[in-house]
Amino acid sequence: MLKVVNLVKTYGDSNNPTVKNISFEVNDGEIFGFLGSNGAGKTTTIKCICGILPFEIGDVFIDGISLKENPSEAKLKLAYISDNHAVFERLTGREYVNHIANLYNTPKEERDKVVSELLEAFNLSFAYDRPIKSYSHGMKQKINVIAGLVHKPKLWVLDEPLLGLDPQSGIELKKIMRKHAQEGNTVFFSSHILEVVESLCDRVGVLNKGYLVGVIDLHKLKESGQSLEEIFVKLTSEESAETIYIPPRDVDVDNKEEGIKTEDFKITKIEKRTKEKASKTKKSEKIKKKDQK
Amino acid sequence: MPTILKLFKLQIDEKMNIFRSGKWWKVLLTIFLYLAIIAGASVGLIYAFIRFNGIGLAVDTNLFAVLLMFTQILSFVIALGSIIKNLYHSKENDLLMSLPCSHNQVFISKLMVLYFNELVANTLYTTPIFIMYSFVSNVNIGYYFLCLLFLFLLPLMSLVFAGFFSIPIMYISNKLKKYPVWSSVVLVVVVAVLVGLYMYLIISFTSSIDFSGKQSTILSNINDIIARISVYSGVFRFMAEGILAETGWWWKDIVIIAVTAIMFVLTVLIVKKFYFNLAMKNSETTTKARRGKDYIEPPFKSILRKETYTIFREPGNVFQYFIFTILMPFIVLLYDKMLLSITVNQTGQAMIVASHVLVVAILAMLSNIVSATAISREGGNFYISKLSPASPRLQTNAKIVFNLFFTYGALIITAIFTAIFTDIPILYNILTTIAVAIMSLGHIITSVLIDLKKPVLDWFDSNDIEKMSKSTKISMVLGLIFAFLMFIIVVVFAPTSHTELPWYILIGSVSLYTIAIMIYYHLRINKIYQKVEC
Repeated sequence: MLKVVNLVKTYGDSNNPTVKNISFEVNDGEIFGFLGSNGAGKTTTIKCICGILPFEIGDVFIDGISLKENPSEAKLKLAYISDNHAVFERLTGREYVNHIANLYNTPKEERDKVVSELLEAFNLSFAYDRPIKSYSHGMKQKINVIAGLVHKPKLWVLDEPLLGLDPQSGIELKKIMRKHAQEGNTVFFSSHILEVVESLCDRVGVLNKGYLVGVIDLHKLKESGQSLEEIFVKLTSEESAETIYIPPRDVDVDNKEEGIKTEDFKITKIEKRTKEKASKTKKSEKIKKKDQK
Repeated sequence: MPTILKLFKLQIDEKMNIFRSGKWWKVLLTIFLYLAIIAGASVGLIYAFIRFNGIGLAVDTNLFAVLLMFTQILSFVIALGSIIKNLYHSKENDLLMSLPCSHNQVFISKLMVLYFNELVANTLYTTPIFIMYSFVSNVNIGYYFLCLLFLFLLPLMSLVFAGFFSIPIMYISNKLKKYPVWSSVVLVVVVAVLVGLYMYLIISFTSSIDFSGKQSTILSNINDIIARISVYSGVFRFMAEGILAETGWWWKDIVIIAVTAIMFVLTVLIVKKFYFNLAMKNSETTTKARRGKDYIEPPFKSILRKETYTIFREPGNVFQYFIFTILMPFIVLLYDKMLLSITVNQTGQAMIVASHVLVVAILAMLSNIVSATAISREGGNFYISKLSPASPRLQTNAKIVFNLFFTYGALIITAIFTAIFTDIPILYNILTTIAVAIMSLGHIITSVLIDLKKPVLDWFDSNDIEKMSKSTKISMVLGLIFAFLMFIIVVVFAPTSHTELPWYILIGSVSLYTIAIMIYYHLRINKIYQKVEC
């Protein structure tokens, strides 16, 4: 459903990309979590995936459609819920949802079904015809979720979705995310809360300083008896980028874009350093054996 | 430092970047530039009025009263605007009210900031007049001391009267708050009436001038007009006599100071009483539900609807869009009437027609400037548009059509008014309208492109966006250049041809520009749009 290939994003004239050669794939019916400390590049990656931010290198494929080649067609397949809850505040909830549904050419029956279902789930019917300006933080988030799902997107991207939601609405949103994935769609979301990610996701991508340092299969993790917290701390620690690297599954990380060499990225450096460490260990073992003799 | 002074410094630092920067050379440079502008304006006025005086213009108490009236009415309007904006509508209110100080301290510190701003603005245009009078007119030594006193007193008077009048205005505005369209309509009507009155006064006074007559006759007519205005200027005449240290000046000045002091105390007491409630009421939001009706329509129509709702529900925006639609027909009509009432020769007739083109074009271009914030106005919500599957061209087209609707509406009404009420030939009127309409399309597209290349998307409030965006200024300068070039084309070709040739050249020229910018827009819009980071 979602395939990110060699994504590089640099802001302005900076020499240091915010997102550094990220590649991964998310399957149909999967809930994929995106973890990382502040400033790791989660929101930037998400905005690139949604076509909100332009990127220099790489491409994003949504349901096989290239975001670079056919942005309008690719965007028809996705919905995005921002972390800042920004929304046209002069409109009422109904006007906003109608506007978004019109942009996606959603038929009346389809939008009516989704809206009535979600209004009830979020207990927002009472405010649906009020100006969004009068909404609380959480209510704005809820109306954004309704507007996002009104066209039944195949890929649903959420940036910190539980921020500002009351516990009841948080539970409802998690239920809706699960249901959306069960219907064969993909849910991709970022979060700081490890427990939420652990309880919801099938797989988790860990981002550190712009690098995708790991993609973890949570089902396998559970079987191994390890905790996500433990792995996350290892992956995002100062040394992690030099010592640990779990290559994303089934993804060709070789850069095919002109002008960028794979050596420029830490992936190669990590491999080099790992090899160096391994040879050092071998040498020290040999010395030890000699001494023993 | 006392709390009031701390609050004053906090607000001044926030408003004036130069003080916040901490670089003293910048502060000194700004003060130097300010003084240089005053000195330059003074020298210009002295030179001009010595010449006018030499050929018969009376630089006397009448002229002083008229100059004082115009500058102080301007000062009053500026003060009223800044009181409403900074005292009642300021976003700082929430923050300042939460600081460990009383509401009265906040209120007084805000008054001090307003007085400081008023002093800076008023001194800029009052000082050159005072200096000019000391050179051109025979003034006694007392005048210099009184000038110094009034430099500080005049801004206070403007502030006090504006503060007094701001209360009923705020009261009415809060009552109308639930109906933003109505409040905007009231605002536009008030402005239209004031401008209409202003234009009417100018026409009624200038219609008696025979510009084809001798220089001495023209100046004599102007002296008569100034004397007539001075008679009606009432309080300003009284103040002029007080400042110029004429007979009985001392009791006049005492009366002025006493009235100002009484008004000051009265206003402070009244405003203080209402300030907290009025200021805090503006932080509250309405929760009134609207009529709930679903609508299913194509994306283009939906974007137009969204534009209409988001703009018409923000009084400031409505004002920006409607003001020129309403004012354009009246201003053009009154301007034409004024010009046509002047007796001129054949070249003068050509200039009148060219001036008609200039005024219509300037007003149309000013009406187009809103397009220079078409993208920026979405602010932090722009990501919603960027996320939309509707093509960028479709989205910007909707914004262009929205602006065109207002500009073309104003142009059509203006053309009808001109045809009915003036002697401008109908063909010239129609051709002018067509030329300005084509130019407007080119100007609106240019403005949208300028904004799209450097949008300001970090803000939500339209005032902040206007302040931070450079696109508005660039679009305004471009619009004025376009209007001036159109004027030049008509002036250059009109005296020799006496036909519609100037208009055909004009329409050809503006069409060339508009077609060129449309092609560029068509080819580049999607790429420029995609590059926007939000």
